[in-house]
Amino acid sequence: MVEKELLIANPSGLHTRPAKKIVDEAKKFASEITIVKGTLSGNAKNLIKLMKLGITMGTAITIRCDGEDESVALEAIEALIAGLSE
Amino acid sequence: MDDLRIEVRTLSPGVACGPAVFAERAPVARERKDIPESDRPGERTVLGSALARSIEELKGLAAQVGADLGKDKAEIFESHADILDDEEFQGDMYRLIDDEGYSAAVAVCEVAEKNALEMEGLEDEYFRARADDFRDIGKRVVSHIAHIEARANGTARNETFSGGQKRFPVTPSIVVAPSLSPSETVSFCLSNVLGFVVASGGTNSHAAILARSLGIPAVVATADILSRIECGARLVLNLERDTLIIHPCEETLNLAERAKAAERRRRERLAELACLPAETLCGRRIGLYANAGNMKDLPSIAASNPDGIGLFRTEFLFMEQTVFPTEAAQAVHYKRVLDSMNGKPVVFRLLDIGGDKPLPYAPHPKENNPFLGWRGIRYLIDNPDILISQVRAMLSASAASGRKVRIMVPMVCSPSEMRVVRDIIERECAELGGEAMVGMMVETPAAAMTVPAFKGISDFISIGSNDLTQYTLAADRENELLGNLYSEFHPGVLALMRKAANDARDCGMETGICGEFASTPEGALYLAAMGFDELSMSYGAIPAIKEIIRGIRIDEAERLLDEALAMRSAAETRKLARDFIDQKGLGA
Repeated sequence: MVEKELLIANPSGLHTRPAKKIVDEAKKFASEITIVKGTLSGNAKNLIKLMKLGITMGTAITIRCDGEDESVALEAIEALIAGLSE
Repeated sequence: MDDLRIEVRTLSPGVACGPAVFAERAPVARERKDIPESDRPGERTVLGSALARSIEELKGLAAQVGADLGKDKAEIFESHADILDDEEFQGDMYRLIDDEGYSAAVAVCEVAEKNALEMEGLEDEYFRARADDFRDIGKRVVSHIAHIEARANGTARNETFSGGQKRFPVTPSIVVAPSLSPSETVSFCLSNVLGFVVASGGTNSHAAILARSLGIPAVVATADILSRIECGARLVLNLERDTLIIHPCEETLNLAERAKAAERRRRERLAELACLPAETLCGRRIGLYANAGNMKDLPSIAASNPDGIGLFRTEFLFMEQTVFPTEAAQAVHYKRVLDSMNGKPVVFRLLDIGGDKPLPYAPHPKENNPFLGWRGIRYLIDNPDILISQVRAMLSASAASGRKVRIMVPMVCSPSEMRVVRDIIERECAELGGEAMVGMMVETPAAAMTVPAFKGISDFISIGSNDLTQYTLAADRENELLGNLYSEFHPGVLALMRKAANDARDCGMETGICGEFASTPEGALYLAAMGFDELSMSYGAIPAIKEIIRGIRIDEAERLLDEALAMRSAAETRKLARDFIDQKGLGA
């Protein structure tokens, strides 16, 4: 299992559209991908679960990947979040 | 162009002119929770096609809006399509059909609402607002289910207007319809509704009340009106009092435009009053409160700067559901209402349901006369679970917001009924904290005549003038055969209101009124004379009533009331007040 902490920088946080991009990306990998915010966590392959984390700008989140392609998956999700713009 | 004049009755005042469009009733989806196992695959198929059509429709809308208005405007539709495409979201719906035997429509509503409530629990306002997205998505799918079912039954009609989709009318128009339910009234694209013409419906029907609170002119004509207007025909409403003009000539159109401009100027004048208190010339301050029920109205209500909410109808919260809302979900709603008013008083009315407006998920026995039946506090006392959970939710909301909550009990006849509620409040308060006042609605003549018997049990009274009038005159307010018989201006009704107000004041109770009566200028004049502390009304009526209050003295209003109470008919007492107001140059 690998994980990494990130700060969400785009102004409206992980609202529906950006969340959907993460879901689409996450689904390309076999690993289990979880996004953790404080005590809450959600499956990155499920749009509604991700929305319900209510991740706003400035929120610190942890991406956790577990599976055969975990390192590639982590890198891909990290790059996607870094590149999110409104 | 021939200026064809038709006599109509005004439901909501104001001049309107524009082309006619027809609203046909959208088919209604099957709402059942007892689908036999053998029929469940059929429900699954209906759900599957409705989901596919909804997604297709949303993607089409996104493409069209993207091309017309820009990519950012299309995002809402794209994200709705994304949410709807979610496997688990759909899976939850299928599970409710398979495991619980819900019909497709009920399964959709349930899942959409469950998600909406979870979103509402989030801290960030942007995410909280996504709750409505889930509800919108649910409505869209349900309307497709309804159309699929209607086609299967051969009852499909021309789909001019499909409920729940806020795209009708597409251009500014006057909506012509057989009748309107409150939910239909609000499901239109309201910025494009210039006015309503309906073939049936009373002045006090819920749709009429809604039209007034939205400030949209509305008239009711006779049943044949639908065949006399063709789609696209120009209409002018209320240029002359209670008149509909079809095919207006150029000159009439000009006059209508000028009248609309005059109305606009008057509205601007009233808007200037918004920040001033409702204080009579002799210095008596009267609270002007808003009636509310729909969460969507809260921002507009707060913007109209009332002194508080004098009636929050909790039925809306219950009616929009498919199961009883939990105590926690109710508490979230009530807290939002309290917070929206920023510390100004809010009066919540306990669930007021009966045989005429049952909840879809709580079967109600058939009663010969539901208005005289198992309703209001009578129903609640017999269903203590509902009563206790509602009181607890209100107290939790009070404790969480640090604001006092005012709880109002509907349909009271005897002190013992108030005692039940008071005891529950005291008991639950000890556990949950929070601070509550409890008051009685005065809707029955029995309550109006015996206010002193409630001393020490009821902290305030609020006259429910609509029901008090209908019970006092034994006249159904929606029965058109009774014409003008139903009127709050009947001297008998006025006398009852005055007695209740005087007695309540003598017992140290606060006095309020929350019926439509308070939103008429003539009514407000008499109510000021009776010494009411607060008048609660559709928020749209507040500026006009404030103008009346600020233009009168209490002693002259009292003299007028004495004169009215010696009169013999509602028409006379209303005219007396009207003439007084006109003479003062108040009002339109």
